[in-house]
Amino acid sequence: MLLSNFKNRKKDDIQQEERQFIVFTVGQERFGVDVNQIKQVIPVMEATHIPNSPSFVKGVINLRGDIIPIIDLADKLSLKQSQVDEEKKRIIIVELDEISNIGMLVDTVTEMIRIHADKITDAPEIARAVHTDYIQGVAKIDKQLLILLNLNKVLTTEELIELGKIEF
Amino acid sequence: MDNRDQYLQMFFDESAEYLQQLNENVLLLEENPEDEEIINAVFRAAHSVKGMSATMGYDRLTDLTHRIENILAKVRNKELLINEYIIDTLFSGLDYIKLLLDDIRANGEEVTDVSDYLYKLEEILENGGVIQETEEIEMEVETGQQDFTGMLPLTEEEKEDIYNKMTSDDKIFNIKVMLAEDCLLKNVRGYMILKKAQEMGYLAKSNPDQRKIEDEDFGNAIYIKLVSSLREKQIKQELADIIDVDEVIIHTEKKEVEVVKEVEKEEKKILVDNSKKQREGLSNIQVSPTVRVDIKKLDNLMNMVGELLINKTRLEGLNIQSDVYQDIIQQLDRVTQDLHHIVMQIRMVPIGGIFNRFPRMVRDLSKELDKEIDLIIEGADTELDRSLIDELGDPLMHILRNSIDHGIERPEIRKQKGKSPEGTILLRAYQKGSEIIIEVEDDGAGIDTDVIVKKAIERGIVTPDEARQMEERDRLNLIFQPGFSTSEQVTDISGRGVGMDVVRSVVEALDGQVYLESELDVGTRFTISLPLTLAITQALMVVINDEVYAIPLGSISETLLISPDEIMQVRGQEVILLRENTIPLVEASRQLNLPVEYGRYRENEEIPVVIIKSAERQIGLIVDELLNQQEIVIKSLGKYLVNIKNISGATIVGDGDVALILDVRNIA
Repeated sequence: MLLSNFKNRKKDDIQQEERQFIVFTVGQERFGVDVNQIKQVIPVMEATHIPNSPSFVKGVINLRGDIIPIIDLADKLSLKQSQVDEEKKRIIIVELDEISNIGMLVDTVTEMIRIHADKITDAPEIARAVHTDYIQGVAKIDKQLLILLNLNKVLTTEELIELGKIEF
Repeated sequence: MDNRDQYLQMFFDESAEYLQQLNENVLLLEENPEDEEIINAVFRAAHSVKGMSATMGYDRLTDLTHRIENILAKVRNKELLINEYIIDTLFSGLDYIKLLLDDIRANGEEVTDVSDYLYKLEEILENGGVIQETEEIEMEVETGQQDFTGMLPLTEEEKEDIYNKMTSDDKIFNIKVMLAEDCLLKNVRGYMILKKAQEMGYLAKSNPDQRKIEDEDFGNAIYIKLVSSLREKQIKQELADIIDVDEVIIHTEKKEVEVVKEVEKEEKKILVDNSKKQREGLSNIQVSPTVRVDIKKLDNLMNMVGELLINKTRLEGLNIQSDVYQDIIQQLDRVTQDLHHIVMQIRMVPIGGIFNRFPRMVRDLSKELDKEIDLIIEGADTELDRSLIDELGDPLMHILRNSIDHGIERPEIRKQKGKSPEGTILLRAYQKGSEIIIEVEDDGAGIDTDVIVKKAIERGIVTPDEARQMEERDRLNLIFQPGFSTSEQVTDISGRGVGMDVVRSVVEALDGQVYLESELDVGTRFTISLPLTLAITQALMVVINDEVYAIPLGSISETLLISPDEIMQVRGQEVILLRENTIPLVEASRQLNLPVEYGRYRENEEIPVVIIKSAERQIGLIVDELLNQQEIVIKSLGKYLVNIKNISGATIVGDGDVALILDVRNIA
């Protein structure tokens, strides 16, 4: 009992010190997202368009029997559309809760990195292109800034309600 | 801890079941206060709850049920007569049981204070009991002259039972066994006496009965009705030999030969009846070999079957020219269909599960409102998917409350209208094709659409202009609008701020529909129609703007190919004539607001039209192409894409692509 508590605490400490992030690009921007949020990364698939949904909803795909909505991050975050070929794009599958997953369409997934907690700072104003709610922080790596996203919050509650209300 | 949780779950499940039985049976008891079967059933259920509570260590529940049991025991022994007060007390006792159970569920311990109620029970036990006890003593004095058959009253069924068990050698003995005043282990002695009696023949009845003897809840006399071929003297001797037995008095009844003959004639029939009765008598719970399964596991199973079905469809799509292939496909088809069928069956439960709670509610509410209401339930054995059952309770409850509160008039008003003072509410369920229909019909005041419209205007739901142009049906349906309540004064019963809009939204979330019909002073009928199952359905696949959509067959009446010159214009609306019905046409891509140029279908020689039916209307939906008909597995679009109008879900088609399922209810 005590031992396992101790072990858990130690693990937590380590996690606080160093976290793993997946780095991806959308348009000109580089973003990082905590691996714990990501279920998997898949090649782009053709999505079934959903009539009258917001433009950032690309549609739905079939992922091994599950229907998963795809959000176009570039559109959602109002970033410049990329020059990357549509077929080369990636979908990051994010686990939102036990039952629902959502897919985020990104340009490329470049690498997986470890970032020490020291190097993560709160979101500065420079990230003004992006609404700050879903910015976990910013990390400075090799003199480059990496914006760390909380993909769970990319869709705000209000938007989710809006999504639920789509009518025509 | 895990183990306890598991037991706790079982405890909740089972106590809920028993509580339901108690509610039903106390209700029955009110109507048939003399029926011993029912008294026994109530007693058994209370006893079971007591046992479980004691095992789990819930003292208040144990105490409460123990006293309820005591009252029932007195009722059973005819020491206490059922009256309205007792029934009411029993009902409130059941409410307390529920409260305590809720406490345990929420807090893990009993919170509700039941001491006042226990006191009330005690009062009944004492007062009710005392009066009866004096009668009992009188009777004993009267019957002191060795005629004590009155101590062993028999019901008709018990009589039949006895005659049925008798052979020509048998006689009926009425025996009174007196135990010594200083007898110590009275329960043991009593038990020995009963056991001895059983050895000597058929023990038809004893007073006190076995349970009371075991509980040592009796005086010094034990009365026995015994059917035996032994001689009186022998029986007397055998019983007198038991320790602590002071005196044995035996009366031999004359055999009623005629009855026996008659019984013999109908022997077969009675035997059958009898065995049935005995089965029912054993326990009120339907004892069939069953297992409890977590509903999640069934959902998983259902998903797996869905997967299988999708892959089967894909396999069929390969269309290989080979006998073996065709053979396998056929086999696979049969197996998956059977499997699907079985899984659906497993998930089906009788709707009685929710219907059963309503008699009690109707009784309570009608009492509260001084109304006389007869609730008739039909089709309680109609089965539907478990997931639907869970959701239906509240909407039905709401409709019923509405009928009781607003529908059925007070008796004096009913008399003035020339109706019987007792109102009737009919709650009926039945299957119609692939749908389950649930109706709640009352013979009450009906709904005055003028009042509805007035209210709707007051609440700003419609403008007077809009209201004037509305059809009668639409006016009636205004009560389904959010924020609508027609009650002049907000009552506790149906004017809680939530209204019929909640009913509608719940039913529609279940992929069902709710209709309303009403006639002033004649009555109102709510009809809920639901799909038999939510998970798998037959659908027609169509193409709209290069995407495949599925339309559930349940909402399609037929498909047509029309030529452009069949289309006519009526007041700016395109229509076709179909068997003398004018059917409006709607272009699917326009309905879905797809970014394409509308009206291009007019250039085609043949225009595919799907006739969509709803309760009262038909509409022709113009699509680009009609594909095949197939079984589809309905999947939700996920939490983030709920309530998208005209799209109810998605399914995976043969090639692994996603096809959206059209929700055509709002189109028609």
